Amino acid sequence: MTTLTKGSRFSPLVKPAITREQLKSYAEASLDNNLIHLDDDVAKKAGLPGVIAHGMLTMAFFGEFLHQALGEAGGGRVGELSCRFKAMVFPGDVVTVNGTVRDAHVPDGAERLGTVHCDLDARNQKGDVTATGHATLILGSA
Amino acid sequence: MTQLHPTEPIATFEHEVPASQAGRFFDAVAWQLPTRPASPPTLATTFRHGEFAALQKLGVALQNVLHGEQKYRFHGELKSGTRYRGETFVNSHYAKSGGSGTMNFYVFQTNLKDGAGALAVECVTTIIVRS
Repeated sequence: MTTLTKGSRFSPLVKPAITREQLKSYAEASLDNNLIHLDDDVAKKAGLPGVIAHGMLTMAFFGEFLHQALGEAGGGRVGELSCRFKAMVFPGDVVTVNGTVRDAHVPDGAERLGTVHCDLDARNQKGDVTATGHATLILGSA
Repeated sequence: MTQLHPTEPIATFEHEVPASQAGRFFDAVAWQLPTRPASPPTLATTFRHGEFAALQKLGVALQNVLHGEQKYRFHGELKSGTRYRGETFVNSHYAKSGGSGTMNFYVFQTNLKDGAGALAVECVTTIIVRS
């Protein structure tokens, strides 16, 4: 991406298929040991078809996507990130994150400090939206 | 049920992310970029002690909750090996009725401050309780 304007799209981030082992690792790393992510019996008793991925795992994918986007934008940091969980994600699902620039304030000149607001979504392999979000990137302040 | 006081924290805690935690987090996310920042943005999720304590005070079982929405406002980067103090507030509480019954929404805000009292991250979590 050479210019950041409304409607610009960052490169998508395609994650490997989610595994049960990954959910166990994520539970340990995130300190979220809710058994609906780890134990099919508990998940079914809670009315779910089986274990589901942590919503926050998808949000972590948003975080990785934003660092990829910052690389494309020339560097900076994440100022704000929000995520709304829309649908369940299951082991075996392949999640793809996309992001589109809503508006960008990139001053001209040598000092390239700016702010970029972007809309995010995560989709599974069927194209269903599993999460949406927004982010503010602070450019040039890394 | 615990009485809610929006201006008083419903829970406070202190937590330090061990130095190894950020690396484990990157691995669990299957981070595939060639470079890693000092910590992944959502490492802040390891500071949910206040929310969990609040839900316990409110008499809500974890198995009955859904995570509806999460927001972070970053004033600095969370550093492993640094102790942070968290204060969790109930920003709002409301109920919605629908075909599948009544759902209670709790919006928690946790402010994480470092040892010097500087605000590092604001975490706003919307929890949906099925009844």
